[in-house]
Amino acid sequence: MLAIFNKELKSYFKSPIAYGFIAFFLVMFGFYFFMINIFYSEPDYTYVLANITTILLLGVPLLTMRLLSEEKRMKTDQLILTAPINTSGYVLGKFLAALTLFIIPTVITFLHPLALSTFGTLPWAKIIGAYFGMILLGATFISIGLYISALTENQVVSAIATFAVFMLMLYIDNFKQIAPADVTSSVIFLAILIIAIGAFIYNSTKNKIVAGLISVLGLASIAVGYFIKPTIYEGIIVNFLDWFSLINRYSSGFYMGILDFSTVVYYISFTTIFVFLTIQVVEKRRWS
Amino acid sequence: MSKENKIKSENKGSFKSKKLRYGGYSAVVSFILIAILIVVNLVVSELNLTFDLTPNSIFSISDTTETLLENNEDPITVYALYEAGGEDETIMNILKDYEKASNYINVQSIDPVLNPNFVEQYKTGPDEMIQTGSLIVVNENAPTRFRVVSPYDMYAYNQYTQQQTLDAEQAITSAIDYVIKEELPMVYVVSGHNESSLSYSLTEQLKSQNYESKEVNLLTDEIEAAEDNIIVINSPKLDLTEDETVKVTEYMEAGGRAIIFVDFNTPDMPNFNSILKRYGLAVDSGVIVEGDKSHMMGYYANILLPNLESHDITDGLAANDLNVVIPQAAAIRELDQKKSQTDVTPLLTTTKDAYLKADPNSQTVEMEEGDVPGPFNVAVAVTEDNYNDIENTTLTSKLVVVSTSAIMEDSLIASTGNLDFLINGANWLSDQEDSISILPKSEMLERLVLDQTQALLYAGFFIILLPLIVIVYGISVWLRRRHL
Repeated sequence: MLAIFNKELKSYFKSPIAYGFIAFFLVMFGFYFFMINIFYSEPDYTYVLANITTILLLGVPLLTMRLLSEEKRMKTDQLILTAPINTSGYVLGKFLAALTLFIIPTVITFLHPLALSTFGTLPWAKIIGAYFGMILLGATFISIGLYISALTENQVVSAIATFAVFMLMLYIDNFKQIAPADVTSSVIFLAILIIAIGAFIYNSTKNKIVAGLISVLGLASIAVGYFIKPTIYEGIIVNFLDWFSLINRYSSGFYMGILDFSTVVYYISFTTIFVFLTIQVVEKRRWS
Repeated sequence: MSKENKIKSENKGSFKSKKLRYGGYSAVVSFILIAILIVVNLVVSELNLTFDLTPNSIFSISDTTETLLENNEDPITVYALYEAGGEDETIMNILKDYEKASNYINVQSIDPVLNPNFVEQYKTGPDEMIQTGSLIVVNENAPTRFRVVSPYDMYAYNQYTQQQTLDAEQAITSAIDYVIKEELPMVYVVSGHNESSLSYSLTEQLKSQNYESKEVNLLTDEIEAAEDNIIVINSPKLDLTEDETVKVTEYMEAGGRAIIFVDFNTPDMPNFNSILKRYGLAVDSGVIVEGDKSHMMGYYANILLPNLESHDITDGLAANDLNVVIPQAAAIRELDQKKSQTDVTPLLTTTKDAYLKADPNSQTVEMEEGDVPGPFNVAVAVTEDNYNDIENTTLTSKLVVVSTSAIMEDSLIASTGNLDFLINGANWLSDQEDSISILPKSEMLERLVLDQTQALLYAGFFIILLPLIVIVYGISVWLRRRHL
């Protein structure tokens, strides 16, 4: 894992990507730092950290686009997959390299509040909490980008798909507002979800009987629930979307100055799932 | 048929295929992991482990609220009326702390646009508006007990410092206190003698301080003398009957509490005056004119800014530099002859340069012949301890007398300490001094102090120089590697 991590981090700094990303990050934060903290003499640096969304949206697809897709295209992944290292070490090394590249400019921007502290009192606890949340949020975004990169062979496709998914993440709170809460829509939504799970199982096992059985069982249990107590389905779409509102958890928690342990666990879980799914995708190539 | 396809077709439907073994294993493990993590997340979110990192702890509730919540066992629902996605995160985070502090508090978001009927049931009048951003606090054991907290109650704007402060905890906690109290202190407003009704601002403020008010007729209505009930006699223009006078006196002697407003221009009312006399007070005829320019409002010598004498009612005002404004005051005189257990304390007094104009229609504010020199009392507090031999208890009567009914005028209340004076008075009368009082919090932090040179220096370094170093170094690496 360490070897992969070192190799990957070095390759970042051999390409313009790392420098572009770091410079973009620093210019952006520097600009808001000037406009908010210097110009208006505002001691609360967390207002600057609110702009992390833009960095994540535009920068992370650049960081993750070539992580796994490039090696797949160059067929160098076959070398690594046949080498005596395990898949999880391979994926984790790549993930940590991207995360490190995200953390480097984050740490540099910490010079901003440090510089401010010579001119007055800063709300340190709030600022450090927001930084902590920002790194966790960055990790979740990188894990999504990593997963998408494992699915494709083309860097550009990977970057665009990642960007599209991030845009969805950004607007998920708006979807929540217009999401129907009635029972019928919820049941239809659940049915589609079950069929999607069935399709996923078929895709990974290519076994019609197992996939079909699970889908039918799932649909049957939805129907049973519907006849016993239809009200349990109320608002299920909103609740489902809630599980994916990554940014909202940051902006209403860490950003406001609240350290919520459940959000920390949520971000770590989210990252774990996507890193794990990536490992499964790469692993699949070993046996298929 | 290629070899691959052949294998595929052979394996179709087979439970021994490689796909099913590896793929099935992978799918099952993925689902188990997701399931475990969902459970972990649900468990952790139940633990409510949150820490307030803000400098003024704006999301943390105070000890006053915590004590109130600890003693409550009524299930309370706080409905937050926000359009989905338009929540006020500050308020929602404060409410989370209430939920964390008590198992009996449940916060629920309701979209008022999608649920217009829901809001409708909490309107007390046809004209009442419950706006988006309000909270509705409901006691689930007694759903008729509810209180609507408007967003204006939760944010206060200080005109002097031009800062917005957060007053949400005061508003929410009083609302909870209101819905869980079984009996609220009553304010009986005496009617039947051409009294003016209490001003809108005062009525609203009494309501928000959890007083219930009711108009009463002394001849027909029962009034209960309890230590937290107050009768208000707001400057009657017709005298009380003897029966009414007896009823008021009996009420007072049974440990009753009263606030009486008198005006300078009322006719002589022997029965009404006898109540005041019973407590060692008299109202002299004439209107007070202030001679000290620093104790009058602008050039109006008859609008007084009286001295605040030390008392539970006035100490808070003095500490916050609030003035009480008294227009057209009558003079309240403490009689030499009064019961030994009666204790009269002045609350508001004029300076010694004030004088009482015997003829209110006089054309001059200068002191004339017949005018009485000051100082005068313009508001007093009276307490009287009556020992009851039979029950072996002491009943305390409390009375506040204010020398003008104009003190509660809406136009005066907005910018002065008058409302605080009256509410403090009501709280002192009804022994509610320890009623909920939570200081508003400021979300603003002290500005940084930096000059322009420093600003430009920092801007240059952080926006231009630092990224430039990264870019130049990046280009140099790229140029070097291009020739590899």
